[in-house]
Amino acid sequence: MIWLFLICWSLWAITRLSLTAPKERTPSLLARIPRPLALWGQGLTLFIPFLALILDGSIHDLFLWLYSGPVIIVTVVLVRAYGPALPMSQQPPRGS
Amino acid sequence: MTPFLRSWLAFFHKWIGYPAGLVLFILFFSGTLASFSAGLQQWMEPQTALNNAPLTEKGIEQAEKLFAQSLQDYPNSFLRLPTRDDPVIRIWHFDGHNFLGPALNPTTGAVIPTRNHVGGLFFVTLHSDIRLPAFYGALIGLFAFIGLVIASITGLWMHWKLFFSDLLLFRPQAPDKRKLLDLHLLIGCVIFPVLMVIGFSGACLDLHQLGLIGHHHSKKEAPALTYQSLPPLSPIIAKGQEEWHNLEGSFFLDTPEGLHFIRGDESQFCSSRPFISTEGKHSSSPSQPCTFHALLHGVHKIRWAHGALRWCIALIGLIGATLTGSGLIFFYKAELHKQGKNQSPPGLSCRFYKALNDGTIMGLPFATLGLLGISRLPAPPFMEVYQWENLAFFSLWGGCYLLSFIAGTARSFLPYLLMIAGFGLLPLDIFTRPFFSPGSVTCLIIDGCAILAGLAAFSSLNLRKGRNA
Repeated sequence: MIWLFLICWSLWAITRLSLTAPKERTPSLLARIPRPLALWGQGLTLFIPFLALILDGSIHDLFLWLYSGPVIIVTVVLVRAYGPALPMSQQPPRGS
Repeated sequence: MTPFLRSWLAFFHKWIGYPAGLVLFILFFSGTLASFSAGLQQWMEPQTALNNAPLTEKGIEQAEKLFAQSLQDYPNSFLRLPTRDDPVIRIWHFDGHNFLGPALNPTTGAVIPTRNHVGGLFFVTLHSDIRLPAFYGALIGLFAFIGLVIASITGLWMHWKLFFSDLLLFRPQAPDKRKLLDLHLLIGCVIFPVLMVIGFSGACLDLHQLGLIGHHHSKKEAPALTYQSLPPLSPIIAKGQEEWHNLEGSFFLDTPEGLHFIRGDESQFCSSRPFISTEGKHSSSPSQPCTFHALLHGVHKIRWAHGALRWCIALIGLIGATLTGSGLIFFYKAELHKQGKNQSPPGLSCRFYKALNDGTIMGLPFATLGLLGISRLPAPPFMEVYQWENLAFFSLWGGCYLLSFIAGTARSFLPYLLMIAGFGLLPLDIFTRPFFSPGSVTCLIIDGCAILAGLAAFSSLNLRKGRNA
């Protein structure tokens, strides 16, 4: 389960970041995610673990999902922030 | 939002958040350590890390004898069976702050030669009552939760307009103050639901401790008869195994109703603590519903968690400490800015806030590393080891507040101390423990965390130098 949660929370953070207001530098990959795909990704990455939790019915996994979320999201944001990025001027327009 | 409302929200966020933040930092940090209390116990007592030491009849018999002796000296003693993280039998008694007593090999029953360390449970009691009398500890925890709720709501309210658009906004290239605010907002928004779950369950446990909610057992009185010999424990353990299937952390405790074998919190989510008495009586049927208090116990203390979940809880504690720590620094910077940059020397209040911040944010990790180091070094002969460790921990921590206050708003030397303590733990560990021992991995993970703390202190020094250049 931890791998499913890791993937889903990471994708949630990535799609969320691609929808963030253009106040900051953004790695080109994030800027290239089409907006409708990012919006669908937001929903799916929450729905899939939720479905898995219902089918699994484990309290351990419920808490794992709840507590792994902030940890993974903050990690993704910090990796993105301090990772390589194109200067704003060289970045493609969002959602292209 | 009107400027009037915004100014009031900011006022409450700042002045309720600051004192609550000081306590919350301690609670988050100690909570992180408490989630690895067994690992820290092994760091202090590496000889208790055993491989392939199953519980045997002989081990139980030996433990029985020592437990009977211990009950005569300390009526509140209990005998705890091994857990996966602490694979020895413990015969502990609680002196109000410390869990003390011998550790036994569960296979041979031999007493493992350890000194009476404060152990990893030191951080559990630091988290639950800040090492104060339980009533005051619970009261402070409750006020901290109220402060957390008010600070969270006022903070989210002020940020609400940009909540969704700037949810994951963090600008590393921005000026320090902006970057700190971004970090504070990012963590505050992302962690809010988890904080409410942990905070609410913790506050309810504090209310229970204060006697304001829930059913309370009458205070235990010492048994009229002292135990010369105990009834054989093996059949009761066998019965527990048959009934509960998992005996991890289960323990024998002398209650006013007699000696009870109580199921450990490590083996179940709902810690309703079913028991089997020496007469063979059972607490309840296995289908008994989980009580509200037992549920909160399971949600907050999460002793049943292991593996990835345990790491997540520990990291949540660290993220929470970062949230409160960034808030504390932001408060200090705002106050310093308000007093004017050119004021020399800065006002007494700024010195005071700086000392509180440094002593809490850097002093507590430093004292923790100091405690770990001291536990491997000889204690003075005129004191019990646990007393010495308690004294050393609080002296180091208190000293950080004092020295930081004396240093004033000048460059603090606490990062240097933290750096030395962080980098120094690994060599100390290597020199005071056989390198290839069963608990090596646990000890090396703790050493690695100490090095990370040292690196964090080192990078904070570099940041400061870069700013001054």
